[in-house]
Amino acid sequence: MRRSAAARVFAEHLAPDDIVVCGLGSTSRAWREQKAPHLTYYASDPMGLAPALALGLAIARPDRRIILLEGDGDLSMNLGVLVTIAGTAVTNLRATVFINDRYETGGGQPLPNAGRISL
Amino acid sequence: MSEPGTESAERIVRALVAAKVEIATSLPDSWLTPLIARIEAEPSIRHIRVTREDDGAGICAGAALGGKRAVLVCQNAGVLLSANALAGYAHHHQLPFLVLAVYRGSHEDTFYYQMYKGRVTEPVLRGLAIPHHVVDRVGDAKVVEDAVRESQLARSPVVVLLRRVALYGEAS
Repeated sequence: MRRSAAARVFAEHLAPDDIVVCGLGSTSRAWREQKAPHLTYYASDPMGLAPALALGLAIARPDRRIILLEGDGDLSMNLGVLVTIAGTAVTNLRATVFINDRYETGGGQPLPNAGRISL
Repeated sequence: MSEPGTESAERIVRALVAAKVEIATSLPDSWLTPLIARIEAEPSIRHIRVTREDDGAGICAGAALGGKRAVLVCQNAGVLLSANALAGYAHHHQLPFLVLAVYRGSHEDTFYYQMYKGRVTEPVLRGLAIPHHVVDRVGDAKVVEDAVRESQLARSPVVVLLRRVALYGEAS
């Protein structure tokens, strides 16, 4: 599935009061193109920290569902954050990862071990 | 007589609570053991253990985005590791939070491998243009409350570097 089509599915199916935290690069462009009405925070740089930022927001706002849209390059920079998220046992954070096995915005170079890992 | 460090930990946590800090992230250092234990026991603070200090910074930034005050508790190595995160949240996102870091690598230390951190921590913070304060007296917890207010006003992380004497007193 193309990235923009996947982003469109989210735009069409998220609840109106969901808050989106969007990772940097091609993920943010795909989401921005949807012109979705959802309150969105573009995590931008520093790279690798969008999941932590989304976790902090989820903990601070337990009354809202936080949707993290993340890229595989951003997440691969810091897989340890998944341990931290699991440790908190938050129930209002949802994460999705757009996988293309490369650093799209950084020039299209492959991720380390591209094609042989499964997130 | 109380265990070493527990009185300072109590004062610091009271200052955090008075400053309305509700979320704490931490990665330990042996000097921080009493403080982290006291934070864990504090019912008004949600404590989150992290695997990297810059994750703690990210969580604090997200908490600020959600209207909560947060603190990252770590060693000064964590400040150095988090340089990009601190600069990004200070100058790009403008999200406030407190960093409480033990200041390893000075005359107080007994480990050679800590010494480089004492040489570079403050120069790095000055280079990043991140406000910081050094606490070198036991019982001086007011700076914690002041630094939280400063972070809110400046829309920036503020780092408080805690010398060992600030945590354990002169006799330790």
